[in-house]
Amino acid sequence: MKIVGIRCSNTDFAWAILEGTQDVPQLMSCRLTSYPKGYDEHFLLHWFYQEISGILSANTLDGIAIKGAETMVKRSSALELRIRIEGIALMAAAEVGCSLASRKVKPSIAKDLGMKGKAKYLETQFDSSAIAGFEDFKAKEQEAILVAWSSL
Amino acid sequence: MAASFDFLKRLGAGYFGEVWHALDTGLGCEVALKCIPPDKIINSTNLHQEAQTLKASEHANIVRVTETGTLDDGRVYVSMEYLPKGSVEDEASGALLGLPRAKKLMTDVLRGLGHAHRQGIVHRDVKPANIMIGNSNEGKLSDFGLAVPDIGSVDASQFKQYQYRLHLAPEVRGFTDYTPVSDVYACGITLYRLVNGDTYLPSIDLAEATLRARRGEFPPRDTYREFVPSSLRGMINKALSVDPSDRYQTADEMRHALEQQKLLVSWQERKTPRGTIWFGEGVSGRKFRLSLSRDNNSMWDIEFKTGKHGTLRRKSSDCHNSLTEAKGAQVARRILHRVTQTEA
Repeated sequence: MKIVGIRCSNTDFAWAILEGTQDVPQLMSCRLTSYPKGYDEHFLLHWFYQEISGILSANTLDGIAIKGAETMVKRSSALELRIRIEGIALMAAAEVGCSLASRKVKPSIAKDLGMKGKAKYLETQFDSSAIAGFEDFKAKEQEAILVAWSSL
Repeated sequence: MAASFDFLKRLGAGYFGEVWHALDTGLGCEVALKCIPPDKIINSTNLHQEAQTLKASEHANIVRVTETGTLDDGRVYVSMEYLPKGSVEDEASGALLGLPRAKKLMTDVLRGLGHAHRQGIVHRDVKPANIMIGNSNEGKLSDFGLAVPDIGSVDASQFKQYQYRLHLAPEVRGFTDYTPVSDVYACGITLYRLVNGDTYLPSIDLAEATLRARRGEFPPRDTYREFVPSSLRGMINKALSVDPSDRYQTADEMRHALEQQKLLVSWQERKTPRGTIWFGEGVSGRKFRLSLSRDNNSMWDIEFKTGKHGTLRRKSSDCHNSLTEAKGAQVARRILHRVTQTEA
């Protein structure tokens, strides 16, 4: 399995490509990319579509996993933009024929990684040592890695 | 059956032959037809190299090839999508482009170029004439005549020697010296020309330009239009570094740096007997007018006006009188940079 995990925000997005299994994951690449400055929303969405399409076409992937906003996040214009961006990622995945596409929040990621379905277990119980240097990644990159890991 | 074309209009001619606006009578569609005499083919061991390279690097920001073959007169043809808006060179005609437009075109080109580099293809000839404008006003990289892939596996000594010396990276001497980073240099000088206009390039012959480029003096790194923000100057100068290791190492890296530039206003500059006037239009439609002019006492006045509809209104906090020449230029530059990045 080869999965790209994506964690969007309204200023940047992190993405990580993992291959292998949940027991033996291999991190192929991981990056945090800032959105361009001075773009109106429709051009920003198009830019994001091009970025995601580029990532998907450069890597033969089995699926895409999106780390969605947690349910406690207050409804705001920033959240609305994030959700629209996530929709673009799902559409781009369909375009290249990804068979797996999912959107998860922390409890479902924890559950899919074999823990109880609560967000706190990702921080207190999860052993991330299978990916060297996991702790050194930024928080958004870690979330992109985890959502991809949980989908292997 | 041999391909059949109606030649409608010659779009251009150069070292490698001609490009025609033609009608593909088989498909019933308009095409841009590049016709290359056999003796001008860069790699004589593969007459269809260019079309094959274009096909291998298919991307939304690279012109689409539809067919290749040989015409009855022996010329090799490459049939490509016809883009009626022409090239960036046609659009700019040597003048400067608005900053938002230049940014958009170059980010598109760098995206296409990054894709080509990932396929192992070095373009070797990035310049305004080789950037076409698509139907959505996007930039599309064209002319892959020099983009011979797998250069290590072919005998380059037989290649026709052609170089666009104005955009030649300092480290490039021969055909095999090109790398993706030398394409980055060519993108840097292309962007320099688009934001400044060609009048900012010194009038020197090509041999002198090559020598100066190797010393890092061509194009002049400290000469930019006043409204070009410092961050964009730094970005272009980095792409133009003489030492390849100091440049952006990939087209994608340069593209991401350009995307971070906030360029919201297109400026036009007019020299007057008393000074300079800059006219700007923001992406939101807001208009600006900044004048820097000498008064009767040989001191300098600055007047700034802005508005969205109809008459522009004077913004008194940005208007100054009786400044020294250096101070006047400094204040004008500061206003131009602020407005370019904030539209306010």
